[in-house]
Amino acid sequence: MISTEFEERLRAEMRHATTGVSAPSGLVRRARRDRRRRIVSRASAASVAAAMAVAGAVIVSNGTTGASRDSGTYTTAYVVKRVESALDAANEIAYMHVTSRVASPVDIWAYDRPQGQAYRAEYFDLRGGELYWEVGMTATPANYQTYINVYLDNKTWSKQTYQGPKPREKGCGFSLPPTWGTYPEIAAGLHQDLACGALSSEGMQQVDGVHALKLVSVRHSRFGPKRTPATTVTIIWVDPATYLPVRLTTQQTRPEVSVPMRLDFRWLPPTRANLALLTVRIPPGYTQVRS
Amino acid sequence: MAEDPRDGELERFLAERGGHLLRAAVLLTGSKEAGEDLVQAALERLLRRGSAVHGDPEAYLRRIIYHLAADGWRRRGRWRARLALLRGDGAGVAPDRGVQVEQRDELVRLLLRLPPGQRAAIVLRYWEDLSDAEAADVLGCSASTVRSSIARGLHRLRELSEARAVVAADQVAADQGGRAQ
Repeated sequence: MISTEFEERLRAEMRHATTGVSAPSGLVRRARRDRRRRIVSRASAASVAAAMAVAGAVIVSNGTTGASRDSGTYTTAYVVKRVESALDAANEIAYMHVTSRVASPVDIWAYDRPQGQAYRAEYFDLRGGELYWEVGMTATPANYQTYINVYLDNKTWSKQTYQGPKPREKGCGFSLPPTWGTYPEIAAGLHQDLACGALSSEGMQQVDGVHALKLVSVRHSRFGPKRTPATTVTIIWVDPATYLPVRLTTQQTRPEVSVPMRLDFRWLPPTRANLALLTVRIPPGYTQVRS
Repeated sequence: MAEDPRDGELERFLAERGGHLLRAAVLLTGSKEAGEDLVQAALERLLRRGSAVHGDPEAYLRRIIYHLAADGWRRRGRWRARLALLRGDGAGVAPDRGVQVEQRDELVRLLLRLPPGQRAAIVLRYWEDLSDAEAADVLGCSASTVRSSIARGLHRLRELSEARAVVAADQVAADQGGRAQ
C-alpha cells in the first residue's frame, strides 16, 4: 500500500508546483479568436453536411409528400435523389459565406477536384471587418493534407502537413472531426447521421431571389459521458433548377439553444480566375513561423 | 459588430477563479504554457456552448479541462509535437520555455509519466481534494474506476520515484568514485 507520507508529499509538491500561478488576462479573447479560426472546419463541414444530409436522407426517407411545385408535388426522396445527383455531377467551386452572431464572418471556396480536395478560407474581424487570417488546404486522394496559414495581423505564415483520417465506417450520429475535415470523412459521418435522423421537405421559400425548396433535418443525438440528449436542426434551401444548395442554417436546439450559423452558397464555374481563388498567396515580406 | 457581452462576464469570472483552474491545468500538463492552452481549449468549448456561460462556468470548465486531459487531447494537432517532447524527456517534463514545475517537485514531474486518466484522477484527489464520487462525477466515470486509477497511478508513481532514487544514488556513488580516483 502507498504510505500516507507519500500522499502527503505528493500534495505538498502539487501545492508548491502551482504556487504563484495565476490566470493571465485576455484568455477569453484568445479563446474566442482561436475559436473563430477553427470555425472553418465546422463551416466547411456544415456545407458538405447540407449536401450530404440531403443526399443521405434517401436512406431514411420513405417518400413523404413534401413541397409543392407548379406541376405537381415533390417527395422528400425525390428531392434528395435530385440533389444527390446534382452534387455528384457538379463541377463547380462551392463558394460559401458563413455568418453567425458571435463568430468572424468567413468566406470559403471549396472544390472537389479529381486530384483531391482544395479549399481556401478568409476570416474577417468580427468588429472591424478586416481580413486577419487566411488558410488554404489541399488534400491528395489519399487525404494527405497540406495547410498554409497566413496571419495578416502579425505578417507571418506557416505550413503544416498531416495524414488525414480515414472516413468513419459505422455508427450512429455524426460528429465533426476535431480539426480539419475533408469531404470524404464528413460525408461518411453524415451518412451515419442520417441513418439516425429524419429529413423532410417543407415547401418552398424565397431565398436570395431564388424560389427554393426547403428541407429540414432534425437530428437527435447524445454527447458527453452522461449521454446528454441533443437536438440539431439544419435547414437547407435548394435551387429547384439546379438542385444545389443556396443556403443552409444550422442550430442546436437542445440541451441549449445555440447561436445559429448561416451559410450562403454560390456555385462558381472552374474558370482560371475562379480556380485561382483556391490558392493562398503569401505576401512579400511575411515571416514563416512554426505553428 | 460588437464584442459578445458574455466575454466581460467570463473575464470577470476568470479573474476570480481562473487561477484555480489554471493551477489544475498546470499539474495536468506540466507547464504553465501548456496549462494555459488547456484552459483556453476548455474556454473555446464553453464559448461554443454559448448560454452555458450563464450557468455554472466553473463546473463546466473544470469538467472539460479534466476530460480533455484524461482523453489525451495533446495527441491532436499542435500537441502532437509537444507530446513527443514529453515522451522524449527522461524527466517527463516538456522542455519548453514555459516549464513551471521545478526540479524539486519530483512527484509532480513524474505525474506526466502516468497515463492521462490516472493523472487526472490523482490531481482531482490530491490537489482538488475531491472524494471518489466527486472525482467520478467530474471525469464521467464510476467511483470504482477513480479508485483503481488512483491506486494504479500512485503505485506507478512510487515505482518511478524509487527508480529515480536508485539512479541518483548510483550517480552519487559514481561521482564519489570518480573523485576518489
